[in-house]
Amino acid sequence: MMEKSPTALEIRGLSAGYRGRPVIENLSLQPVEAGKLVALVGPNAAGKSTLLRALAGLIAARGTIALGGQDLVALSPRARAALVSFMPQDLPRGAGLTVIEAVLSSLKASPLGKGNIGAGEAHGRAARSLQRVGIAEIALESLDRLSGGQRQLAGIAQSLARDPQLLLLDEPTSALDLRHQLEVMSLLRGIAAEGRIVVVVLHDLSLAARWADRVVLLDKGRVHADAAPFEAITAESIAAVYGVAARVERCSRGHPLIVVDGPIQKSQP
Amino acid sequence: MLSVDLTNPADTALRAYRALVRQRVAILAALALCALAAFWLDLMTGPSDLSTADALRGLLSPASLSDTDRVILWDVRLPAAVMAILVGAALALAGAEMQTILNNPLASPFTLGVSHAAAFGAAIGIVLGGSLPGVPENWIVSVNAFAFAFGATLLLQAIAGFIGASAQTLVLFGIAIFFTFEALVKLMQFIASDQALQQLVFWTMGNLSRADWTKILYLALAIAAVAPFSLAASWRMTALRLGDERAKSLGIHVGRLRLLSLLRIAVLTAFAVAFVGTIGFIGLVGPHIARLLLGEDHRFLLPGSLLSGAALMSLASVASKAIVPGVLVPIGIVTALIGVPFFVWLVLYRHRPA
Repeated sequence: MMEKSPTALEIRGLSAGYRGRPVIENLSLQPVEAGKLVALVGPNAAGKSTLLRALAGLIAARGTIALGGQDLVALSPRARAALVSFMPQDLPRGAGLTVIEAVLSSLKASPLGKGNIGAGEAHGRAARSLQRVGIAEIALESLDRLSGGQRQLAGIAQSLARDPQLLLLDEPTSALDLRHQLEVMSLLRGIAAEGRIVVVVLHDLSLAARWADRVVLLDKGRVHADAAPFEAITAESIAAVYGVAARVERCSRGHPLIVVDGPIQKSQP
Repeated sequence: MLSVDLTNPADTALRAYRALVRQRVAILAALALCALAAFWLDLMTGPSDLSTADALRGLLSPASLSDTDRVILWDVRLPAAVMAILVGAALALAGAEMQTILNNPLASPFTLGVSHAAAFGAAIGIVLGGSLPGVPENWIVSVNAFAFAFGATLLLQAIAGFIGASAQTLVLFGIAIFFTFEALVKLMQFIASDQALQQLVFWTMGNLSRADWTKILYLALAIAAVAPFSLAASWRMTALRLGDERAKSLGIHVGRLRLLSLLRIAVLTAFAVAFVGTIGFIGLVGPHIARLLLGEDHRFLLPGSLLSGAALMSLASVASKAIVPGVLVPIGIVTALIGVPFFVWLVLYRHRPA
């Protein structure tokens, strides 16, 4: 994959939501530099998925989403899809496609940055992307027969083939076992290290703290914290946002560990 | 699982994929041959004797045949056989597109009430009669059927476009249209005279003997005009298999893809049913045969559906002439009788544990 020139993601004054139900309003984040992995965390209905979908252009948004100085909100869906790739939580069952067909269809579905690509280049890109993700051996397997972990990897290969500058993933690890969680998160780190920006919604705070460069803790559509993992995920912020008493500890190897002790009692008068 | 070349699995994958593509091209060619064979069988089946040699000769130089044979070949057998191929192709292509854009394996031109709308249009023509300026009298029924089939699809598009065209919404409105027109057809049957009632019932059974060269030309032009756009959309349709969100994030305008596809479906279905009446199951079964043989890559699935629909319709036409010797059973009945067992098998197959 090509090395990216330094690109920053800037989000300022962003409002988004669904018909008649604004979810996030006037939200701004610190700029994200190329090569960084940002985790979006927060309780249910905090606006994580809404923010991710607004970044992907799947729902209407007002405000500024700038990628390398280019305003994504003003771009057509096609032009935007050449820069940004969004991966839903899971690919639907029963699609009937093989892994490589899924990757090829994502390459041929709409023009990439420089226009439509021919079959030869599409094949080459698909093969490289499958190899990068480590699933070239199952290229001709049906998506429907893959395990949850392999499906996520296939989805990532699909995104990666388009060589996006910004990769958005909605809870890619939520249905995975420990081994596959590790595989997916370290793959995402590697993808970010190529000079891309990776924004990922996570439910597991320990995973977020362990793998992200930055953690954005959302609560009721607002940014509660936007900082390095250990600054964003603290006992205080967890108490304030999730309403549980928790400790943030470091294990013997320095990895973060979030231990939940119990619900916080309603404040006494 | 393919064999693993330890030196470079990606190259192995690509080689295997290219082999798969070649295999699919071969399957498409085989399907085309099947359709051709079925067409020939259809042409050769009928109450009067016509030898293969005579038929071949008659096709190449009509003047060499006796008057009777020429009429049988050129005015009876050939129009019906060509119409069978075209109707099967149109309905199956429409069905394949519909199954994909509605993400529903049971979708067919019937599902959204398009065929019933056509039947209502025909019923108005048959029962109420009347005339339209510039339309010859024997075309009234076809023109009415076309107008209603097309109108029903446009109505569906308008509703879908207004509230956002998700697959589920379309199916629900399609069901509403289906039942509305079914009730309206029954209403027409209720008020029809005995003679008109008989004609109307016969129309809804589907019949290839209504084919003539003008109608064939219109249907052929409709398919020729629509099919290239279907094929041009094939990668986008394939990507749509992975869900609306995924497709949108790939830069596909999913709403527009659905609406344009609906428009193609409307043209194909309206032309097909307007000329031969309601014909069930080809639009459902044809695409599924193609799906089983060719998978979901729409570059192969769409032409494959077209060809298997054509072959099926020709075979149904053969059966409609052969079931009761000397009697032409309406082809709509035959396609349903063949289609139902297949449909049941399909349902069982889909629920079989992997």
